[in-house]
Amino acid sequence: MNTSEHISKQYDADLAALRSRVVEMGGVVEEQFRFAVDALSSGRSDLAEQVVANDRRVNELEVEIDDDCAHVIAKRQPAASDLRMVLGVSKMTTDLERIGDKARKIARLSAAVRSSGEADARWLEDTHRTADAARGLLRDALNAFVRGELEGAIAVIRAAQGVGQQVSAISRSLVKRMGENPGQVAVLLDMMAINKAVDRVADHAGNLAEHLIYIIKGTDVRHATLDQIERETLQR
Amino acid sequence: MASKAPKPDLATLPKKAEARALNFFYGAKQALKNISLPVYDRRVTALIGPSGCGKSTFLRCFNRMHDLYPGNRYEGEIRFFPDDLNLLGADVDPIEVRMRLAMVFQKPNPFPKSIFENVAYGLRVRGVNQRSVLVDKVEEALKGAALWNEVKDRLDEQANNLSGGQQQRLCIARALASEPEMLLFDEPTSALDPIATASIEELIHQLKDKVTILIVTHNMQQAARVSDFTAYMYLGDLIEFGWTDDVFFRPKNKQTEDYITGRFG
Ligand SMILES: Nc1ncnc2c1ncn2[C@@H]1O[C@H](COP(=O)(O)OP(=O)(O)OP(=O)(O)O)[C@@H](O)[C@H]1O
Ligand SMILES: [Mg+2]
Repeated sequence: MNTSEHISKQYDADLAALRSRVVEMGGVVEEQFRFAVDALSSGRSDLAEQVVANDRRVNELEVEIDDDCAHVIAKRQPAASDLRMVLGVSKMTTDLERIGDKARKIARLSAAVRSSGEADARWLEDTHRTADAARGLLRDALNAFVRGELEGAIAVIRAAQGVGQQVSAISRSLVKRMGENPGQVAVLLDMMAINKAVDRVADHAGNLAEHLIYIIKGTDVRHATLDQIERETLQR
Repeated sequence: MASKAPKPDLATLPKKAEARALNFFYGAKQALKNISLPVYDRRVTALIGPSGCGKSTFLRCFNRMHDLYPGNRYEGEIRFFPDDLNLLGADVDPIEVRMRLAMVFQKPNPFPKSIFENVAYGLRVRGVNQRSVLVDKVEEALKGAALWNEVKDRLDEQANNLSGGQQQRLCIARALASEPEMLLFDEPTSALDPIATASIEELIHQLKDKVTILIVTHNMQQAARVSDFTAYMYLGDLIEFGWTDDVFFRPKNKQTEDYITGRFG
């Protein structure tokens, strides 16, 4: 990221505002996700309801920040790293909004899952652990963005794959339980949907890291393998 | 920044001209420092950089405008293709060069003559006097400059009556009449309003099918819009040269980046 100042102070201020707003949105989304998982772990329905209600705020933030991006483009015609910053922020809001959706989904399903009696301590623990890992990735991605750190971004992309593997293991055991317990398939599917949502949060954190690489380097790594990404980003 | 098609390999692109280790001095003051730059055939190359970096100086080397003042001195060469002529060679006739590389300036500078005579001027200088030939060539040049429809019924009017944008297109028509191989534009739209500017930019786009264009502009967006290649200069040095969409999206050099994004150097 180019940290030198523009001749136009107002332009600096516009870009700084974009950056801080997307970080703000990241904070809101991280909290939504944390509360959703806490609602599941604790069985507190008030927390779940709060997450569902707050999702509107997340959606609003996405629209507002995108609008800010459009205004900066129209007013400033940003080029090079500035243009990539604006486009990258706009892409980030999309992923953050999706993380918000996943939080809402977990919150929505939590009550039914808790009341079914199928949510055993083991599954709750495993789910909580993977969710913490996914949330850690989200935070790391946002921190890397704030500091403009390429290495941090690459670490997030790599770690996101690990979360995916953990979730697959949980899903396999749920599939096994479905076979043993056909009468509970509906709730077991809900549980699986929760695990899937956690997995998607990790994916979106990985996307955030990819957008950061794009902002810093100008290379689109969305469909590249990890090795390609490392090779691409560490050169120059 | 027109197409999304993969960019051709530079090694395969024909060049129209190429500056090689070009130095230029106004007396004791060196204004260009060891510039080596290809100008690709029938492409638009934009020269950008802060005021005083040597853009106009560079442009003027191509048609030997500096020859008009004693004390000016060139070193190095500018090869011109396909004949591989050194434009700066002592044996090269500057008048002849200016037929092949025509310059269009910042401020439209029509002669105090009729529209017709402005365009016919270059032809008359070259000894073309036959009325029917002149009429054809003038029409062709005015069409080439996208001005014909606006002036075809008033060719005998004074050129000064035209609007600024029309005058600039008239100057382009005047340049086109001598069928140049290369057009040199020095900030051709800085005195024009946005509509006239857009029509000149559109014209540049059309002209590049036939001629190679080198354009100096202070308008970053204009360079991004009209050019295929961009060269960034600073204090007489060439800092970066490349495809315009690379230079404007991910410049290699921090100085270029700071300039095009409006930062202090
Ligand atoms: N006739 C001259 N005699 C001496 N120095 C000159 C002359 N013309 C230009 N210079 C100097 O040469 C350098 C390059 O000038 P040039 O006009 O090429 O800059 P430029 O990039 O075209 O600037 P601008 O964007 O302001 O038109 C400047 O330092 C300028 O002061
Ligand atoms: Mg100049």
